[in-house]
Amino acid sequence: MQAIHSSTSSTPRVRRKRLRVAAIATVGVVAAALAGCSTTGDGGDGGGSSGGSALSTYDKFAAMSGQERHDALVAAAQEEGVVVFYSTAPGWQPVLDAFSDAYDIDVEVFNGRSETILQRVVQEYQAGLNAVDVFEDENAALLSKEDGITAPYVNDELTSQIPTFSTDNDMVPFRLSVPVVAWNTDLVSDDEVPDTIEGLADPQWKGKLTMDAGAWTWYMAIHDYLADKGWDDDRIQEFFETLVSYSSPQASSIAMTELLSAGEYAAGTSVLTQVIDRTAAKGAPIAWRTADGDYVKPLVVQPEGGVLMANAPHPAAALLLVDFILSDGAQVLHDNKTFINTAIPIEGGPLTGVAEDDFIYLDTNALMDEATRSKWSDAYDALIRGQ
Amino acid sequence: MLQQRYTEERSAGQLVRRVLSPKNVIVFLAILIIGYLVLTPAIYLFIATFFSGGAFTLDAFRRAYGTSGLDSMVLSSIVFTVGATVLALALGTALAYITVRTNVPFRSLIVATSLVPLIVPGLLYTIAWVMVASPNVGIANQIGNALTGGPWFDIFSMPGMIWVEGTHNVPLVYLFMFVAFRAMDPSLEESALVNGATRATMLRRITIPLMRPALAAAALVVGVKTLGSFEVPTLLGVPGGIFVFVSRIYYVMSDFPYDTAAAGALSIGLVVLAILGTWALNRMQGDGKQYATVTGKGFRPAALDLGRWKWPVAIGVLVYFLVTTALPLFVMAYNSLLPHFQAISIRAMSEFTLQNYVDLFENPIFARSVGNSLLLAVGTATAIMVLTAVAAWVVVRGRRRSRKLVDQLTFIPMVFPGLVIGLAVSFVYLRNPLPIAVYGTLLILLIAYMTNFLPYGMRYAMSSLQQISAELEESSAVAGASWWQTWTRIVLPLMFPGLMAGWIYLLIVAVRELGSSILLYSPGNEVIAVLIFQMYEEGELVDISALGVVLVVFLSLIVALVHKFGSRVGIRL
Amino acid sequence: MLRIDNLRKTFDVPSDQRGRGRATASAQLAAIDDVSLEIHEGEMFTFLGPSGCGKTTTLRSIAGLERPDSGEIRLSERVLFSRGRGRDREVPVNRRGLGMVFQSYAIWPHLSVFDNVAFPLQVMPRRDRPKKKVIEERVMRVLATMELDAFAGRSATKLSGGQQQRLALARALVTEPPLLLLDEPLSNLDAKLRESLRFELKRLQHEIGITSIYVTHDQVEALALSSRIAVMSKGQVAQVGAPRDIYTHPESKFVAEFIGNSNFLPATAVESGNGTAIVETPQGRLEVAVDRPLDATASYLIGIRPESVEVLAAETAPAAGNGFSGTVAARSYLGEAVDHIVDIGGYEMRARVNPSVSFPAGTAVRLRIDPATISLIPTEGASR
Repeated sequence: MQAIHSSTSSTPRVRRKRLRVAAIATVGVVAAALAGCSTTGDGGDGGGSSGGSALSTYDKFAAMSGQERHDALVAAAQEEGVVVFYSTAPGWQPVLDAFSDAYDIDVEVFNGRSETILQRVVQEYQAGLNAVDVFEDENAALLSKEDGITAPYVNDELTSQIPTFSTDNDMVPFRLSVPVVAWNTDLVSDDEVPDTIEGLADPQWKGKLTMDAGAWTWYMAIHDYLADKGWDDDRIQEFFETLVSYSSPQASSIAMTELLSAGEYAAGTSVLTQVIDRTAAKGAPIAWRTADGDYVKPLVVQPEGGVLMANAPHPAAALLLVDFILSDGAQVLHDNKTFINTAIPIEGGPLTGVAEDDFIYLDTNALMDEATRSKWSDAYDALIRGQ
Repeated sequence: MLQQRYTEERSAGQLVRRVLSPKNVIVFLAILIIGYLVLTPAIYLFIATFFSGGAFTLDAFRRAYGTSGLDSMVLSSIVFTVGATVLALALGTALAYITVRTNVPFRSLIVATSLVPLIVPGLLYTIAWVMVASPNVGIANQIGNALTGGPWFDIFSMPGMIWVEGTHNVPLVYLFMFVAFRAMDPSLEESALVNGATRATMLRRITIPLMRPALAAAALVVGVKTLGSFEVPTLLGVPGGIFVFVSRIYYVMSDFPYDTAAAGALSIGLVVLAILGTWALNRMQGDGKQYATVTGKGFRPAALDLGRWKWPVAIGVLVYFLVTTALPLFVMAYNSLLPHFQAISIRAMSEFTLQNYVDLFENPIFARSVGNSLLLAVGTATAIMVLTAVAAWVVVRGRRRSRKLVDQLTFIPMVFPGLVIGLAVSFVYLRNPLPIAVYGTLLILLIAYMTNFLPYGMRYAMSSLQQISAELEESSAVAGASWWQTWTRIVLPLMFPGLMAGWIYLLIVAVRELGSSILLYSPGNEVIAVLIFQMYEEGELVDISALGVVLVVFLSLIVALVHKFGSRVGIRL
Repeated sequence: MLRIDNLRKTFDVPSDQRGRGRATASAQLAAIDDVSLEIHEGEMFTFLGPSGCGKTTTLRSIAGLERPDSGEIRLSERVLFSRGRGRDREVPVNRRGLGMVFQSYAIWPHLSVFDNVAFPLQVMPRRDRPKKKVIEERVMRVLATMELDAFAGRSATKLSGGQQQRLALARALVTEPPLLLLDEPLSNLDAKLRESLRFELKRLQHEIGITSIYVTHDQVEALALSSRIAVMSKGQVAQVGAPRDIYTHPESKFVAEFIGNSNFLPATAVESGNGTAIVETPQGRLEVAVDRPLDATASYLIGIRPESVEVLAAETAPAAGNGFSGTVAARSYLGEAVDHIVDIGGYEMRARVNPSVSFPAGTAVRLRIDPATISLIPTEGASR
């Protein structure tokens, strides 16, 4: 397996060679392209460990604990020398670098959009290619629905510290996605920030809002929150229709953040906290908390995380990486100002000071149900499109 | 007298030599490679769409098309596609005509800058327009709000979408039409004027009809590209409440488990639309011989004197370039200097920093992806133009049956979105049919790019060959040249300007390609588009802008070099 | 020298092109229908006919640009093409070693004048290819013959129309081919240039003495240039002969019409002697010159050229003499001549006379026709 990704280690020598090839290649390009990636070796041989041996490795370490487990794991992982990490969240790089430094194990990263990366993993698995060790994505839980593709992560010492951990699926939460109400601080003063989401239905917000056209999980959570408050379906529907009529939809949290900080909109309904915080850290006039630390209630929390692959070519390194991400990695994320909400809460993290009562946890298992998914995504789609 | 030096006896050896003549071998190889590139993913998609668990089913069509509000989506798709295509055709053709055939001032400046919008990635071009014309903070509307108390433009609207998509595609049309106008015999126009036609009549009755093959090719390419475009419908359409049919393919794909069959069913809908379009265009195009405008009879292109219209036209063209080229570039450069994205204002300019560029050059993936992208883009462009030069020759000059086959074969990939091609290619090469390693190497990206962009190269090659009279080849054969000699000494040099235009285009789009890249790259084989995508996912618009600026400068240098080199070896007109 | 036997060629018309202008009805018919010809050493032989008659297809078949369905083409002893008569043979176009001038000249716009002419020598098979030096000499020699030596370094597209025509000719002649094929080489030029180049072509052909085949639809050009002419119609050869023969003794109404006759009258022989004969037409009797006696039972068509008809005032001219009496129906002034349409007993005969002679409509006139200028065309059932 190592063969496929062996160039990733990208020693300077390898890289120079490829650039030189690039510079001289004008004709006979197929040949040149081949020469250019000949350093990548003969991928697809599926060498290394097979799926079966990965599972037995996981079992072996599941039976161990404490320092004994750690030492044995480090030794086995260093034997493997490399770990392959597929992720949709680019913010992991500092953690991965820290991991490499700590254990002298190379990390090969493949970043991509959620749907492509999921598709890739499934395709590779079905083709019998043992390519990836740890897969990290907001939909990682979905992957564990596929028979035998993932393996459970067993390490009670760490998982017991994760509030959102569930053994119903194989996903280990790494981080929390928290879509919140964000506002442009030049256009909205702290006094004007409503206490709860219902406050956005006030006519003063007319024409000043933006919503994420794809945020059906947020919609589902807020719908439940309002229903819990005793609102009936008509009232809830009316509330959301009002919000939509006051706002202009955007395709992503990114677009919302950029346009909010540029002042095109005054407030947005479901912007991810880490995107807001990162942009604000660069000096943009955007925030989701007032100077006093207040925020618009409630906060929807969706755990997102990783899974161990059942056919991981480097299972020990995979386990070690997950250990690291959950423990030391959280501090690395914090120190590097990535503003990612770690699954094991960390002192001084972005969610510090938020009352536990104000969180609404999305039920990962419910989200895995196809009927639930299509019911809520279709309803939100219809709402946004005004039908 | 010529002595009798050739035996006409045909021995078995000669027969073999005849069958294995350079012509047969080259044509066969080219068609084989094209067939392989096109059919492997097409067959995969076909099976994925119509078969489920080994049984034939049409269920995918129900899932793909059984959605509410489809009629309004189809309507807005048509309005968007037709609008943007017509706009791009009109502007691109006018620009090409003005720069090739008239004595407008600043010609060389216009020629040099006309390709720039093509280089700007669609994402950045669209964002630049949001900054220019978003209702509240767009710079144009800030002025409007100050002067008239209300916004002048709303970019989040159908006209806004058509404008952005259309102007972004103008260089594409320009490339096609520039070559076609250069190859047109100006005496055809002059004779119309001599015969008493007004300039308008001349354009309408002579020039435009003569340009039909090139116009049809450009319309096809731009139309299909618009139909499948992603950035504009997402960034401008969604906020404006306008939903386009084809972007549904992306939504179908974005939910897990990925519904390949439904995406395939939507693609087949596109195939049907595209086949209708091709059929209509082929009727328009004829078989090319009719419109051969480069004959062996030489001509001297005399620039049309614009007379008193010279300066108004020049100013119009300049304003156009200021708006569609300089403005987005300015916005991009402006963004690249900011610590974070913000509306255009004096205050923002006080925060200018070069940090984004520092970050970019320090990014370990940057150097690697530039190298990979360059290698891939040069490889894709060269391989496609070599293949399509042969394929176009088969289509334009070949026998009827092979011409139809090759024409349709090379068209197929056009209707598949890049992502679908990427998916099919990864499926195929995970079960590698080739004796060499493909998956996980740059080669898989090369294969995907070649499949994806083959139809575009084909259009360039065909429109350049259609403009070359068959007599130029026949006279070479009569003069004693073998097929290979005719091909290398007559056909290729004459096609060269058209092939070069195609090459430049492919180079640029290959650097920009995102759809299949993000699926097929592997660690270590990153390309620039992947970098852009990752930055976008991180919300680093200012960093992407810095990358965009670097990209534009870098590709402009390449284009300028190629242009210089190309005009030296190309047709001297 | 060049022999063509029973050449046939049909085009299949693609269904999607039917009725769309270019490939029209004629292409559905045979393009060449059993053409047999022999062209002699040193001849300037012309294929003459209206468009679609098969002349260009025949020429392109000789060149090797078209593949006939059957027949044989033989250059001296060498079979260029043979199909459907024993063993099939075909010499590819680039191995035939012929020279050809195309209608458009097909001058390669990316090459200089010199390179255009040098090309046929440069692409010769390696063992026959002259040395660079020799190529240069030969190219400059042929350019000098065409008076183009001063332009050798120029881009070929910078030449005038006449210069381009000479360049195309130079290119065709540089290999000293046994046979030169010319496909309407003058049709792209204006009338004045055409006339001067026509004489130049004739002079060159005479000087070089090369066997040439010339394709044209212009009968004046054909008559002026050719040693012999093959008039073609609907894929067949209608008549072969020297220009004068064709002009004076057309063998069919088609040839007579194409060569310039416009007055036709049906006729039967009344009296046939040595040298002359009297024929009966609906408009009266007429004396015609013949080279052998006529068949009394056969019917003929007589063709009379407008310029062979003399118009005389009825009162001054005697009713006797070879001709008819009639009334002027219309006249038109042409500058160098005056056309009269004269009604002779229900038939309108066209007469072209010197502008000094002019009669207004309604004038009674006498038409006089020299028996030697009347052509006698056998129709159905007649042999000549």
